[in-house]
Amino acid sequence: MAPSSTAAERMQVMRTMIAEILEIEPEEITETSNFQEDHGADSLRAIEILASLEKEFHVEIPQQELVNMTDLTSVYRVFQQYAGWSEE
Amino acid sequence: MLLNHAQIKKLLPHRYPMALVDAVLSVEPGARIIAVKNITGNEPCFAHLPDEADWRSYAYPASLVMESFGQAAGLLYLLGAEPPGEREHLVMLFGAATRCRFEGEAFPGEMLEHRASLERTFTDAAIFRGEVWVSDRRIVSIERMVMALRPARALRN
Repeated sequence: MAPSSTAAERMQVMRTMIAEILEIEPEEITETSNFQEDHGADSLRAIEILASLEKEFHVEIPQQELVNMTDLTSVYRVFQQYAGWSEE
Repeated sequence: MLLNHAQIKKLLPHRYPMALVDAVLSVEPGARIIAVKNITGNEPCFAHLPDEADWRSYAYPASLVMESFGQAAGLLYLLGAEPPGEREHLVMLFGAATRCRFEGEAFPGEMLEHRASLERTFTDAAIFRGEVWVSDRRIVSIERMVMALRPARALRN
């Protein structure tokens, strides 16, 4: 994605990519729906989400952050921190 | 040839009839590998075919192409694992494959050439991408394959 993307645009890209990995419709993922409890994700899906978003946003996230990536909002926060995106 | 079949069997737990990599041609540990599997008319998957079966029936099954690719990818991981002693203690489990395109088939007399690269490693998983070629035809492309790595003792219980 272009570095100038807005938070809403990045969030939408994340939602689409995560939905593809979890094999559900993007609309099913709300900002706080839990990947594991609400969408049946397991540890391998979480790893897949991490790796594909890393590639999309050109940032490396330490594996220990996986435990903090439980829903769309928390994933966004982790990436925001490591990619240095500003608060909007 | 970089690794012959005997050397591969020292690295992979897979045995007949599921030892689906014949040889490793080249490897850059931690980065990429080229490994091959020859397909013959004697494959167990063709054993049940009646004499009337036409040539199309001898297409090597896509599931086994993927398994063979996965074993090549596993070898790539194991050849880069540190320390090398770790290798024997890990069992590789296919997790998921995303955006795979099946563009062709392979038949007895042909050779699968797996070109796999390691995208990302985690302590208990690895992600690969790659392609499968038969001479000058690409028959499969795989954007992402996730493999879980688990200690063998965790699976015995």
